[in-house]
Amino acid sequence: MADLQLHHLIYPSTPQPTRLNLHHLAPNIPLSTTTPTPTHTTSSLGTLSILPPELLHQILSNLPLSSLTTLLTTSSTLHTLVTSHPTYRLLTHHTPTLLRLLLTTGASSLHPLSKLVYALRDPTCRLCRRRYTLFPSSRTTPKPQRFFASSFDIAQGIRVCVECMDLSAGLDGGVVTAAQAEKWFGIGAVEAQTLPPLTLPSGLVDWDEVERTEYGLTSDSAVTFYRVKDLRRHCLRKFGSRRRWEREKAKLFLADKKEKGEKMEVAFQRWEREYVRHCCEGVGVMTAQAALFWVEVPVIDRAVLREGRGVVDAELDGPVQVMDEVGFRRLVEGRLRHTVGYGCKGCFATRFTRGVWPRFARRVVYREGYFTHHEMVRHVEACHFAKRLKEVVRWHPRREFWREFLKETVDPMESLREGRYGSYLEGYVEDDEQDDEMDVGMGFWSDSED
Amino acid sequence: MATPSTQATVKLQSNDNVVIEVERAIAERSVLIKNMLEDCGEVTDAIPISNVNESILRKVIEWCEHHKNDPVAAENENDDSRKKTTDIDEWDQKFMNVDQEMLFEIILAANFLDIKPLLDTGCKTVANMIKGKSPEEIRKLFNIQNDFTPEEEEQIRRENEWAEDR
Repeated sequence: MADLQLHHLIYPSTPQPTRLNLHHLAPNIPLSTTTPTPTHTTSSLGTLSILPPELLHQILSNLPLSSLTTLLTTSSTLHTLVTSHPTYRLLTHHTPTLLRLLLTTGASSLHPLSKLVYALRDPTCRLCRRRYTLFPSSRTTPKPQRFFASSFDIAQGIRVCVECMDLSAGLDGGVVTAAQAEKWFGIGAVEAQTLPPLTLPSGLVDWDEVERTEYGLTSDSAVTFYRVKDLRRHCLRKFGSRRRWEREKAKLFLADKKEKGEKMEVAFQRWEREYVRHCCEGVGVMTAQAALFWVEVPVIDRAVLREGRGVVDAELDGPVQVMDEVGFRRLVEGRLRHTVGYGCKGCFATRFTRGVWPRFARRVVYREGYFTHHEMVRHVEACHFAKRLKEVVRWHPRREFWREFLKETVDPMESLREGRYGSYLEGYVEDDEQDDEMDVGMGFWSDSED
Repeated sequence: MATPSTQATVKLQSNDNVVIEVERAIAERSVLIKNMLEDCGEVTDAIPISNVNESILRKVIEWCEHHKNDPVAAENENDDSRKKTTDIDEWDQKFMNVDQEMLFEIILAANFLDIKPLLDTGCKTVANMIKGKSPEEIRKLFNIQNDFTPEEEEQIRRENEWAEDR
């Protein structure tokens, strides 16, 4: 070093020698110079604490969703580590429905997080490889909307366009082949023909939309209808007979006409509380997992084929009273086609009409599970197809099952127009008892309004 | 500018002052060393690898020797190919069949030396250790203490109950 300094003093214009001493370079490397020793003491991160957070995040990227969910419950530090993982945050924010489906069906252990987010980001169909550009230039390329890979194949973890999904399944509206149906569900070929495609919202779904499809689902009047119906059922059980219930109600009516409304409201609130408590004990409450074994289907009580309009409900196929923009009631020709109901994914034959997911029974309020129509709870407990479906979903051979099982149709009405549900409708058997009860329920509702 | 070197071997010095001589091509699997050599030209001194001890360094060199003929992945290619799979090469699986302490140190060394494929393999190995295990098994595996209060545990259990019991 002394020689070098002297050299500079004598020859100031001479450039410095380029050769570096590597021993001088090493300390500039921005990492600690000591090898970290693993901590053998128990901590909330354990032996993993030797690794810096960025490496732990890299490890997490290689994990499938099921393992990440397990890590959430392992320790607080790991909980923080997982929830702060950028990819995990991205997915939980934008595709909660897909994650929920992956977790509930057991397909979550198939794909690591990094693969999942990579697959979702690319809107090109991975089967036909037809390019979909999000921002096509208007001059060079026409907008190829139909190439947009709106479906997500859960088994393979790829985005697929609707056309490819249809072609690869080769079922033309069905869900599984007859052989597969026989193997997996024990359903005969005839029944297998009637399977409707299951819907799976995929991709970047707006949160409100997710909320609506997962929780809300129904009109206010339907909510009220089922709320009152179930309440009435409870009251009948409470008072023992219809007559006693009427008497109890009459007491309230006769007590004081001015306070009638108020008293009724108080009584209803009390009964509702009792009903909620009653439900939380197990009746009328479905576990969140079981709640996913329903598929939204258009419900047509009496199907008729109309020229240019496809299959419509004969009962709704007439002039319908609607409110126009200014509030006048007017008749509209054939406005309603069907109502939306729920079918059991297990047996594909049993379906429940109208609003059977009461909005007041949100899971955030009643953590025990989803409040739902007692008939659905009863069905999912009894249906051996649903039971088998759960087993199949748990143990299905990779890549075989879900590819054909889950299909996305953008709009159930669209499927209906294409006649996909034609055979499904034939397989429907009307449940007389259910309708009778509904009529009584409606009667009750009009009673209580008086 | 450093002149391109024809040097055949380089010396690497671990943090416990053991010098190991390796082929330049093998050492250049490490982007850190490669850049260093490109910047400095011909190096006669041993390159100090200050974060890595002898046993780990030998292990890393062993990996580099086996993978010296692998094509070097381009930077932008990483997202495409690397992240698609968690499968590990059979040889790598055997290579990574070491105790936890050594595995983590290999990962740290790979990170320090900037050997991306080795780092990936290490991370995948740890991920595979976690996969399919219950929280209790994971705690036991990594000696993790469950520091949740009973209330917190109950809350988290409730939040995730729909994902369980499959």
